[in-house]
Amino acid sequence: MHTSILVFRNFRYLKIAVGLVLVAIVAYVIHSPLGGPNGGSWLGYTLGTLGALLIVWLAWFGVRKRRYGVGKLLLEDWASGHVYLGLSLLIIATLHSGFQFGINVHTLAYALMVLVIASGAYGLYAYLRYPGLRSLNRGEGALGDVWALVAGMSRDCYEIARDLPDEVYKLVEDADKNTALGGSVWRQLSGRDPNCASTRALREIRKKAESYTDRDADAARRLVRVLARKVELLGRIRKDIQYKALLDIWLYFHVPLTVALLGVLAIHIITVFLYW
Amino acid sequence: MAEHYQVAIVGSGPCGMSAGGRAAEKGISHIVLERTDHLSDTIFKYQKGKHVMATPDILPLRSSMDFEPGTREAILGTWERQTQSLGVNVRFNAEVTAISGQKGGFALKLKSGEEITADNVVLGIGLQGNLRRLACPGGDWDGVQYQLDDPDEYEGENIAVIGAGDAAIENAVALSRQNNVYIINRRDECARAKDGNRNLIEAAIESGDITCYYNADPKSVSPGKLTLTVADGEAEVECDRIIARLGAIAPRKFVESCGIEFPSSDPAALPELSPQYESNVPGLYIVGALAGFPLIKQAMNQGYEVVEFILGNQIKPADEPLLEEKFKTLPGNRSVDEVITHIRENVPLLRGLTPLQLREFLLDATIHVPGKGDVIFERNDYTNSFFMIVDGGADIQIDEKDPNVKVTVGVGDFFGEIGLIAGRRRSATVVAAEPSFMLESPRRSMIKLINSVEAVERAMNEVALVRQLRTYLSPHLTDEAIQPVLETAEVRSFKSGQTMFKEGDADEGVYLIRKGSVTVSRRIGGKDIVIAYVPAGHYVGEMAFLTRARRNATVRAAINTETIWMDSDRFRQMIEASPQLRGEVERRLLTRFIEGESMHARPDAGNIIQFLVEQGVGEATDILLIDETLCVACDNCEKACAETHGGVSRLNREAGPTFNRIHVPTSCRHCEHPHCMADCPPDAIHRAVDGEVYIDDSCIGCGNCERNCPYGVIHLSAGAPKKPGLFSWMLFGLGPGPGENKKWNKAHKKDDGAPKVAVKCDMCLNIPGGASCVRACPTGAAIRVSPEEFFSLSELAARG
Amino acid sequence: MEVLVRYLTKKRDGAISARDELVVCEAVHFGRSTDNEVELPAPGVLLHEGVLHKRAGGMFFEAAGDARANVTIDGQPTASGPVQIGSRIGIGPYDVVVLPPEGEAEIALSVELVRPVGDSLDSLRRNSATRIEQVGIGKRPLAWGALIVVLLAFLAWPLIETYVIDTGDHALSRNAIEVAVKDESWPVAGDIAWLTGAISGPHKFIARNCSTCHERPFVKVQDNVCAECHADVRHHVDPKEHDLPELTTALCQSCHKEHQGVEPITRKDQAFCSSCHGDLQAVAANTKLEDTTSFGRNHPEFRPTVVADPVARTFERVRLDKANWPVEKSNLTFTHKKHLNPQGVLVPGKQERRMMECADCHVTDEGGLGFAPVEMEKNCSECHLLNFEPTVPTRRLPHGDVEAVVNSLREFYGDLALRGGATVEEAPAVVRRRPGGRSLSEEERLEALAWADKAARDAGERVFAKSVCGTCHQVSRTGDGPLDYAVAPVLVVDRWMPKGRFDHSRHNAADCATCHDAADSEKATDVLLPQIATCQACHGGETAAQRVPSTCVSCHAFHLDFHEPMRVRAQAARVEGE
Repeated sequence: MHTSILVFRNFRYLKIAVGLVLVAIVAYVIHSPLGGPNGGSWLGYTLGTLGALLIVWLAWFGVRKRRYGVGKLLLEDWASGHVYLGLSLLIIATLHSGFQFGINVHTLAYALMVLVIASGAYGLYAYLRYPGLRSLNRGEGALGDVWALVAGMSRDCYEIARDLPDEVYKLVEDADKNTALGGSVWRQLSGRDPNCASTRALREIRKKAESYTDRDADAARRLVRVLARKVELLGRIRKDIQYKALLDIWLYFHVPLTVALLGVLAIHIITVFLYW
Repeated sequence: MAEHYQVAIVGSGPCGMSAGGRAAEKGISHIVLERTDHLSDTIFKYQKGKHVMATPDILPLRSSMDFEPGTREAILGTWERQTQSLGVNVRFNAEVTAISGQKGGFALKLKSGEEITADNVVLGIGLQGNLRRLACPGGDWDGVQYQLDDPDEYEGENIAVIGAGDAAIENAVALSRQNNVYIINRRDECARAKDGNRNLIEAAIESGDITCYYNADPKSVSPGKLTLTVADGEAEVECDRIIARLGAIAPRKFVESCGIEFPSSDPAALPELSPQYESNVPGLYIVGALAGFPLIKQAMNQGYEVVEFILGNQIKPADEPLLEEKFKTLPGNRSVDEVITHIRENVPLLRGLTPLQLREFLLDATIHVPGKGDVIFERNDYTNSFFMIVDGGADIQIDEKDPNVKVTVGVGDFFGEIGLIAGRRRSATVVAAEPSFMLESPRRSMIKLINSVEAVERAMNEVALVRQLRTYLSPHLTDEAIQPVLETAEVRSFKSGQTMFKEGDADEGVYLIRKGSVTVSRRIGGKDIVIAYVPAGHYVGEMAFLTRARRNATVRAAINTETIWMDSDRFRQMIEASPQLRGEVERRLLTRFIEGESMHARPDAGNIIQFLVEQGVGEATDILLIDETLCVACDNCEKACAETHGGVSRLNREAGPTFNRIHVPTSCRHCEHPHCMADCPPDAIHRAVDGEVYIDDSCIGCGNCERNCPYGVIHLSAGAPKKPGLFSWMLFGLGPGPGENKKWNKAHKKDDGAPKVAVKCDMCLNIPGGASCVRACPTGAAIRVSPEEFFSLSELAARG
Repeated sequence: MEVLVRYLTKKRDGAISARDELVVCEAVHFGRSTDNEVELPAPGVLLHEGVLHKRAGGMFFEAAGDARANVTIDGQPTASGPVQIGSRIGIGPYDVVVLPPEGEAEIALSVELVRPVGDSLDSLRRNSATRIEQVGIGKRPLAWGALIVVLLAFLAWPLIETYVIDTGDHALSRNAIEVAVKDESWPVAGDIAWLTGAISGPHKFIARNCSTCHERPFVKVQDNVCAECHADVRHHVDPKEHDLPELTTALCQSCHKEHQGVEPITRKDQAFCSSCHGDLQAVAANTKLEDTTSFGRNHPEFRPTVVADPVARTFERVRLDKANWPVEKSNLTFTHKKHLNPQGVLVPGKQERRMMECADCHVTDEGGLGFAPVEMEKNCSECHLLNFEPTVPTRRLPHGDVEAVVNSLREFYGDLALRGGATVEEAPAVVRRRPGGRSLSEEERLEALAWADKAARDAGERVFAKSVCGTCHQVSRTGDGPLDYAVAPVLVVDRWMPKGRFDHSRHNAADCATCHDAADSEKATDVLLPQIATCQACHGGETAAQRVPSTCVSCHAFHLDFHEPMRVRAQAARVEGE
């Protein structure tokens, strides 16, 4: 029923990738071209072509993913293949280079490719790890319409704080007006908000409440409880935002780097034939 | 001396108006009496700008007035103009309170007290009837209204909704989005409402979105305040507005008061009419919804025809050519009337129908003329149409393994009722035994038939019972073996969640589930743990008498369920009689033991069943489940859905409950008995051979399905604007991206009048390769399964 | 008193709904909390904002202590002041307007929320950003940016620099070095980023200008470029005998791969040769060469080129074979054995014996690769003096010319006879007289010359027929006349194995005897070469583990001088160049 992309179709794409890599390695070992292994030998060209095709195919995933209701394969086929063949590319391209690295556009292409694969590897890790944690954090039943929930609590706070001294009411207002979920990229990734208005309000009000008596006292108690619930909820939401951010962030490297890679790859191919 | 007309037309709806139009054309003296101050109140009450369709498309329009699809305003406008130009004599605010007399001398009493006499009377009052008004002091406050055009009109108000019917609930729920809503219910539950709406309102009350006063009666109304008498005295509700949905005074009483008879007490039953729409009272004609023809076009045609009839012109009904077309395929070209009479003679089920009903029934039906050996339908097809044999006969192959085990049915018999009842796949393959003539009618018209002719249901049940026993127990049961069981067997229905029997009860019989499904639970560690889910086609309760013990588990209906109850002893005798059955029963018993035991060890798996059953998986045939440990929230499923369905997604991934990592997004479950099909005026909702429930183009956007769906998976939507190609988005961010549905250039911003139609998951019926949402899930988090599959122990074990 | 408070709420459609409330109080208190007569529950309102009194002659509004900032009367920020019908008191987000009294109410007020401080939901949404796409730059701009940068830096700029800015002619010509050096003026070549690998050492001097070799885009480097310098590269085989496309059509670079690092780009691998020489019949049916794939394993025995006929100057290649060892017919008579006599050899003149060694005669040439030819004058004459008159031991004969020898004899004795003073016994008196004094008579002169002639003849006999020439040469008479002699011409090969390169200087660790068994050689015809086994004792094939790995090219050259130039095309190109 549910199968992750790693075990998908019981490792079909892993098998393909491994097969590909083995063939490449064997060919590399037995083949000894003029002046040592290099991209210019027939094997070099073969591996190069294979690598280039792989890169283009892998990049095409971005398009295929958005082509719906077409093709015989599931998108999961593509994803699974994307993962395993993407990793195999690391070896194939290295063999293509014949370990000849230098400070030039060709090695740049290689470096970009490595970065893309690295970011992809993180992505895979994230995809395998965070959804579970996220689900755990949400607990039974989705968080629901968190906005309404939080806003609702703010309103409750106002209601409760109505008859409380202005100093408390000010805090409640502050907690309502200045509480934020997420924020800058870093905020989202960190999953917490060091100066969260609500947390501050809770802290302050709690201090003040100690000195209150009778009507104010139990209003304050109710207020503190609502605020506490709100803060707890905010925490959960922020964690949720964090997980989502961790799930998304890598694409901001993976995709642009891929595009750059495609550019450099084109240059690599053009120039080696420009100066044949 | 009261004014006298040749024809008095009551009601200015499509039919009344059309009749008036024709009368005016023909220049005969007539009057159209309209209760309200405007034409065609029903359509007038549609939501603003609502797009009205002209279905059925095949039916030609025959009327002095024009009618084609368009906005409510446009259509009303046209009619307005044409009644003027034709010089139709309409009298507004003229509510008819009584009709007496007979042909040539009818007397119509108006509310205003005046009286009108006419030779003939045409009743075109539809089914809406008169809205009940708030009868308590102050009820005339202008803050009190009896309908709600656009719920979004109001916000931040205190609104009291009075009533517990569907209309009231729908309004209350819609309003609660922006307002603070109270619902005032005369009883202690919303019994009258459809399940879907009941769940809605109960959820809303649960969550505190709506405050409900049960057993409350409006005592008095003063501006801004509503006083109620409740169980413990009085309650005051501060409200800026009161919406009273007290239902309508069904026209039936009024109609009967005119001397017209109904065939059954069933509220849905229709009066008997002659082919000329003439009721049992000569000179009193009934047309339109009241005659069982809810569609505008039909009504208008009848309006036209009825006038012709009154003038004595025996014109053929508008559907004549259609029927001719249908009957073409039949051998020996007989006239339509001949065929109809032939059918009437041969098919007892249809004898109870009036010629009109029969005609309409046949319009919906499909004619089959299979040759010997032609397959009518295959086992496991997901069709739920119903077949009647007019000529010839058919073989029902009841044994999967051996096609030679078959029951032969002949002229007048019917088949397909099991699928119709259970709403599940066909349980047998049916082959024409000889060249035959069969009628296939869709589920909808069968239900209509059953409602209007009691005999049909009875006849069907008797036959169904036997066949179901055979199909579900063992094909080899002889009639002698079954007979004793049949004598006492009876159909018992259970509401969703109702208990059939409890753990520890004494054995009192075996239940064969013929519709719906049940959960089997056992008390483990002080709480009920579900240990099994049993769908239709299986039986429960055999364990007790086979083991000669008390009930060792509790069985509850997962959804509204129908069972065939059988007496234990007779059931035992039947088993003894048939060795195959005995083995069969024993086998199931053992597997159930095994499953039960291993479920003991894995309560969480049981909890999953429990949870999913609560989510209505019980009545699902196919449901979308998301494994949260795999879902990366990329929403590609939603995008895929939108992109493969005109830019509008039918699924909401995030919404919906989660349990033990299994998330049930709001997306169609393709129920066994789809709630959405319940009342669809143009019959636009169908079930495909593979079970997909889909809406075809004839949707008129009435929104009934949206309201009836308990799972909120249907919504009204105008198609999304055309997008530029994928690459221009990917490269340059042009227009909306996949799944996005925003008006992205001026042209789109302008056209807002686009007709809204109901959209729902069709399981990508027309897309090779199956459900796009699943195919577009990159991580394999989304799957579509049928409950049986999913509840298979192995699967649950994998999760436990 | 009674106060009518009318709460106004504006709806979306602009309509205003009013809710009246009648309160009985002494003074009307405004504020958030429920103990006020007029409750103002919206955010931004203080617990107690102020109070409205009724006094003689009018109403007076008085803001609560800490509310001053919050209150305006008719738009004026003020703590307190008189108010009358129509006055507008602003309290936080609310406006309170004093209305004309209605019914029994003495004061009528309308309260409306006119400056709402936004809804909690809005503010929350406004403050929040829960998805990365909502903040920072999106993937698309990033991608475009990256793409444009790389395209500019690594495609556009190099192209422009190479084909637009730096249009100078980098074509290599006879004075290639200057071309390369001149370019130092230009900072950095744009296409440097395209360099696929280090250029071989010998070519580094032209590394700066790719276009020097890469003349036309998308065209492989052509031979004419190489031919600019490597003008005279010869064929491996004679194309007329063996037409082998892989040799005649291949480009230089199909064997010589550049950009593989600093090592020279000649091919060393054995496989390169063995691919043909492993089975020559396959490629050249009529070859005389034998197959080999590895020096270590199956290299054929050496076939030195030796003199077949010194007179006709013909040579032959004879395999080194113990059974019939090749002989070199050089017309010399010489024995290494005598010369390398362990007791040494007698040095005439000085009464001493001297040990001789190879280097006394065999001196490596300046290249150090081969040896300088052995010459009589340089290497032999110290011992082989060529003197003939015992009484005048210092007098020597010339070498290499019979005529000269005869003339030298005649001239010597003639002079002696006429001058007198000879110490020879049997010579007549006139020859023995004291030199000087009176001049000779005719008779005396004739007698003296007769003697001289005889003496010369006798000496000739000795020199030719007996001791001197005959020692090394084969002397024969050419007629009956006195001194009619001839010396057979001598011919020695300078390299026994012209197709193989052997660098003696790199083997000087071993002494000569290791390979050349001269000590026992008694005849000049001996070919003092070791058999291949001797080499294989130290040298193995390319992959040898226990031997010096030696590939074909260690000894053999690919381009063979004695064939015609390899690339006719290249030649042509060069001619045009000049």
